[in-house]
Amino acid sequence: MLNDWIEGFMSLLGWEEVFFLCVGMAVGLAMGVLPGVGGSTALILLMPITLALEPSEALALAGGLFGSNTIGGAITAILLNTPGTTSNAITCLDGYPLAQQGKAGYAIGAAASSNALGGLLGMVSVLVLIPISSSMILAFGPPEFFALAVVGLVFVALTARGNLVRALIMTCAGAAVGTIGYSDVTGAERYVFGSEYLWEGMKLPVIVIGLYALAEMAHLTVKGGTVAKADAPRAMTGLWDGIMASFKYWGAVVRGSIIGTIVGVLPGIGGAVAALLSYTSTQQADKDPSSYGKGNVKGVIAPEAAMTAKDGGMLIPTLAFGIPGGAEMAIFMGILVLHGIQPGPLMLLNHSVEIYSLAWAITASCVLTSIVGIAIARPIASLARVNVQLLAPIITAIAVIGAYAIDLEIMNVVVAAAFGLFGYLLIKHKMQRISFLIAVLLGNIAERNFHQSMMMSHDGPLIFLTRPVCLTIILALIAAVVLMNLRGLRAPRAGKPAAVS
Amino acid sequence: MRITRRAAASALALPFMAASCQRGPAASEGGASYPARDITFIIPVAAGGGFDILSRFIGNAMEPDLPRRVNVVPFNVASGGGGKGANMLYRAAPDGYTVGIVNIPGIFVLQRIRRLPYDFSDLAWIGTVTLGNGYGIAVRSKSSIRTFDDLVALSRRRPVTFAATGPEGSSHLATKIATRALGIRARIVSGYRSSTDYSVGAMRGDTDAVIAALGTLDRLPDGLRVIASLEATSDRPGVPSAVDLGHPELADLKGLRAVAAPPGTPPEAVAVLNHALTAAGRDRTVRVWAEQNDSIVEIRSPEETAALVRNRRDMMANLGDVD
Repeated sequence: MLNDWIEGFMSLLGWEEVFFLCVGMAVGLAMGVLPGVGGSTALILLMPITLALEPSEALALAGGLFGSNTIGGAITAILLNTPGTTSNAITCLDGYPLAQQGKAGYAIGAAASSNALGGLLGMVSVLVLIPISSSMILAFGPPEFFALAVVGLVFVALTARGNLVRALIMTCAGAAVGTIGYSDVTGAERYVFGSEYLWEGMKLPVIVIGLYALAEMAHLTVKGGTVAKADAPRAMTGLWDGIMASFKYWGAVVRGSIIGTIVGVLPGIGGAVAALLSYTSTQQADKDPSSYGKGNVKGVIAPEAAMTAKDGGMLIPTLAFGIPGGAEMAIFMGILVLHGIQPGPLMLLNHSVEIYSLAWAITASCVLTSIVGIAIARPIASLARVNVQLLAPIITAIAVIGAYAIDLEIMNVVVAAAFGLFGYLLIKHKMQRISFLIAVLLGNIAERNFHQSMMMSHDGPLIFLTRPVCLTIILALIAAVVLMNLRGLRAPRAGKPAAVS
Repeated sequence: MRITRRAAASALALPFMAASCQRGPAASEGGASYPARDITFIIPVAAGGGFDILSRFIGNAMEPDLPRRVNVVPFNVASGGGGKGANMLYRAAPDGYTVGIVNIPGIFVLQRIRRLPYDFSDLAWIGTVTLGNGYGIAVRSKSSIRTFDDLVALSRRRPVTFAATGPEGSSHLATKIATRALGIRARIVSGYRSSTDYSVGAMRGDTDAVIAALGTLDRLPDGLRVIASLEATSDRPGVPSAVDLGHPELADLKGLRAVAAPPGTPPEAVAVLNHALTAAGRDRTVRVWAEQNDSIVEIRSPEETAALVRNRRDMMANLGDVD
């Protein structure tokens, strides 16, 4: 294994591989910055090109893209409250308040270093987990996924400390929107109205573009001025402090990396949930949870570390069974097949060098783009001081193009505009957009797996209590909620909780 | 590093393909000058999967045998479970410049579920591309079900659970048809994403059994045990075939993929495209890929393809009360 590991690294050192790694990084970074456009869209655009490449070059390109997407998305999340990818939406919670306080450099530095560390730790975790990967995946069936989705929904309510009723309203609304479309479990059509577009359901990246990019730009335009508050310090300071914050708060990085890797291993859960679970668990473990949502740097570090660690975890189901860990991995599997490599258990035996080569490419990309992110932080952070009358039209235009580019569908733009209006109203009325967004995602996962669990058990609800892993998740959730409430009763509130949005 | 003209065209031309699919009918297409420009090749799934890659290889391999050097440009239309791509193909101008690959019986399932006002069997069929693997019934290795008879015995006590994709998927349909024919009371746990996904589901013990392509089942030899083959013959020791089970018609369950053009496409254009498709079927890259992915490449004439398609459509129509 060690030989293959070294050989995988060596295979990346040819000039052509380095070139394609850099191309992947550049595209990933640029696509990450575009609101809502994630790694999967970028990979789809690059896929035809990989047809003409050698396998090692294609892997370098894909790996470069995988590892670089997150930091691009984090920068816009921090500066403009506009996440580049769905997962980065969690980074907005504390990243944007930091930018408003004139601490954009501090936040970007922290995001970059936690990204790099998360990527490194995630990859180490994957190497450790590979021998037990099959058992892990076989331990998680529909009842366990349902229990995990419930954990996510409870945690999203916890991010809205003091705003529980509003969070619940938004969670229900999100879950309802998540049901739109054709259900491939029951075969039912819901709120489709004969539309081919709605048949497939609401697309999460389109919702993100509307809810965040368009809504935020509308809000800023109405408000006027700049992102950074007028009384915020003008000098770009704190970059180095931000980088070091990930080392200072190493607990958040390690926790985020472990959560990210585990979520990555479970197919279909996704980076947004990894980021959410990491954020909430870090918040709950903190002595001062009420400081989150107001500009606590740990609220940036925890989700960013989880997001990059997840990329490594996503390799596991692909290796173990040939099941894609996420949308990006599904396209990556296509690239493998294109080059005569059949994803699945035999990959580790027949193509282990290629696997380790990809793992190295992702890690290298994570670290290198974090350095690039730090290098460009200073000029880019000045965006927070640009008059929004200049900034908003440009960002809005980019967001609209991004919505269309997801799958070249003009209806995406209309839907994004509708969610833009909805998002603007939510901002005005201080309702939690993040609760809505996560509920769209998790409501769908919860519903699908609940139905499947019921069918598996011939409609016996006890299935959730008779499977050890599922029962453990449920008991852990109950224990966590009870402990948090006991803690809340004992400790006086530090201040009025922030209204996170 | 070999950046080909086609690869570059594929990458750059993607955004413009949608517009070309919506043009009105063109005059005097399909004549001696055909093809005079690039041909759009609709692939009704997202980029990246096995179906997409096969389609790209086929489109690529068709180019050298067209009378003029034009590109066959892949255009992925992923929405609607494959329905949007099929609809786009059906409605495109019948000028020979839009073709597409379709999954059968998948499109007929969609036609039925979505109550579409037209019949996909009216498409101008250019040729088959692959004939799918036959299906097999498998249980997890540790299951107490050892034989097909054990499965039937279990179904007498309670419905047997089977893992499958959603109702729009071919595996779901195959499971319904096969279990009904074989007299097995079935409860389908649907909603799995792919053939590997539902096979792993059965391996995990989510369900009692699974009906999947034998090629997929053979990729998980440690976790699943095949207890019946739904092919005409079985070379697996102790595993009965469809004929042994008294239902030879189940050997026709296997899906097929075919290239088609919009209804009304000139026969001259169809003949040119079939010639290029036949040549693509002999292409080494296509053959190697098919071998590695348990697919059988078999290019048939437009007439034979239309007959096969009608056969699958009628199989769907005869489903009656299976829903």
